[in-house]
Amino acid sequence: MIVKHALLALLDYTPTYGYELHGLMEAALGDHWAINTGQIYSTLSRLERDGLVVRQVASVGEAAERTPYDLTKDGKAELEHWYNEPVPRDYRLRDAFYAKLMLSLFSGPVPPADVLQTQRRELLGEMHELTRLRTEADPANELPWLLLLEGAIMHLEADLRWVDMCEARLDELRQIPSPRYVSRPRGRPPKRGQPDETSRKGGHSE
Amino acid sequence: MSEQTETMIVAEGLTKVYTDGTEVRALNRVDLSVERGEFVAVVGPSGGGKSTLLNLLGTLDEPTAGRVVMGGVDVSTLQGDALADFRRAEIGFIFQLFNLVPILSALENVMLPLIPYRRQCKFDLEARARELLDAVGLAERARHLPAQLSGGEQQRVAIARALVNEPEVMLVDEPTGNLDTRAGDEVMELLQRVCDERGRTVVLVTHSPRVAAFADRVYFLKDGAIVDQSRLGGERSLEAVWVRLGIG
Repeated sequence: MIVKHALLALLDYTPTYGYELHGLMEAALGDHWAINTGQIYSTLSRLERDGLVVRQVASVGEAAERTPYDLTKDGKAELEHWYNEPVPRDYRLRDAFYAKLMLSLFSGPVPPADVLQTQRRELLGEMHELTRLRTEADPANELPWLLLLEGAIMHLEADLRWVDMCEARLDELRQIPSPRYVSRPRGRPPKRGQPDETSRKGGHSE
Repeated sequence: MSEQTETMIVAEGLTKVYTDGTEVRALNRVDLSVERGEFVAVVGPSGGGKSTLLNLLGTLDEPTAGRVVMGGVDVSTLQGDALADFRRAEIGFIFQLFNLVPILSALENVMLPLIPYRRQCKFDLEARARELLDAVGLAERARHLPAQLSGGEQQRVAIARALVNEPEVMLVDEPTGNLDTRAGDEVMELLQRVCDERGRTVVLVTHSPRVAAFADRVYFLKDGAIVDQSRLGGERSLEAVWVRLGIG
C-alpha cells in the first residue's frame, strides 16, 4: 500500500488536487512508477473517510467540486509513523527458482547443473539490460532512477553469487537423500507432555 | 548496426597443459569466435582458465594444441620479431594491476609502448597520447605521476595506453579488480565507450557478473572448458526487467 503513504507525503508537501497528485507522484518517484488515476482517487476517498485527509472548503462560488486535498492532524501522525517504521524485506523463502533447483536434484529430464546455468544466463541478461539503462541514465537529472537500477543490479549480483554457490555445492546437494513420503499426523499437534506415538514414527532419520 | 559481420578472432581447439611434476590441463579444447567490434566477456570461477585463455589470445603464451587466428593471421606461424610486431600492432592489453611505470607521468605512460618506435611513427605520438588522455577524461592530469592518481584514474591511463597503438583487439583481464564498485563502473563505462567509438574488438575475462554485464556476448568458462555461451543484449524484452524492478 505504497500509494496511501505516497499521497500523504505529497499532501504534506503541498495541498493539491487529485489529478495533480498523479503528476507529483511521477515526478517524485520516477515516471516508471505507473499508478492509474483511478487508484489515486479511490485511495483519496478512503483517506478522507478515515479522516487522514480533508478537502478544503473552496472559495464561495460554484466550483465546489474542485477543492484541494490537505493533510489532517491524524494524517500527519500516520505519515510520521510510516516514516519511522522500517520496511521489512521479502527474503523470498518461497522463491520459484529455489523450488525448481531442489526438485531438479532428483527428478526430471534436466540436470540441476543445466537448471543453474539457464538461470545464470537469464540473470546476466537482465543485468546487461539494467547496466545499459544505468549507463544511459543521466546522473545529474535522473539520480533516483539510477539508484533504483543500482539496487536491482545489486540484487542480481547477489542472485548470481547464490547461483555460483549452489553450483559449487552441487555435489554435496546430490548427496542429500531423495525425499520419501512420510505419513504425518494431521490436525492439531499434540499438547506438550502428552506423548503421541505417531509423531515419532518415521520422520527425519537421525 | 550493420548486418555485415567479420570474424576478428577465432580460437580452435585451444588447449594448454602445464607439466610441472603433475599435469594440469588449464584449458581444454576451447573454441570461440569474436566478430569485429564485438564486446565479449569470458566469465567463470577463479582457476577456471580465464587468464590462460587471454594469454593465449594475446600471444603471450603458446598453446599445447589448437590455434588462434586473429584478423585472418594464424598467430602460431609468427615467431620472434614478427610476433612482437604483430602483437604491438594488433593488440592492446589492460590488466587488473595497472602496470604503470611509477616514475613516468600519465602522458609518458600512455606514450610508452610506442616510444621505442617513435621515429617510425607516421603521426605525432605525443599529440595522440594527449588525445587519448582527453578521451579518458584525464587531459588535466597528463603531468601527474601514477602515485598522484586514484586507482580509477590509473586504470583510465592504462586504457589510454592500451589504445595508443590503435589496436584492433583489446584484451582485458579483471579491469576493476582493484577498484571500488563506483570507480569500477566508471572504468567499465569508459572502456565500453572508447572501444565502441573506435570500433575496437574487446575480449574481457572476469569472475564478476557486474563487469560481464557490459558485454554483448558472454562465454562461460569452467574447469578449462567453455560450458555455454549467451548473447546478452538485443532480444530481451524490457518487460521482464520492469517486473524485476517491481514496476511491471
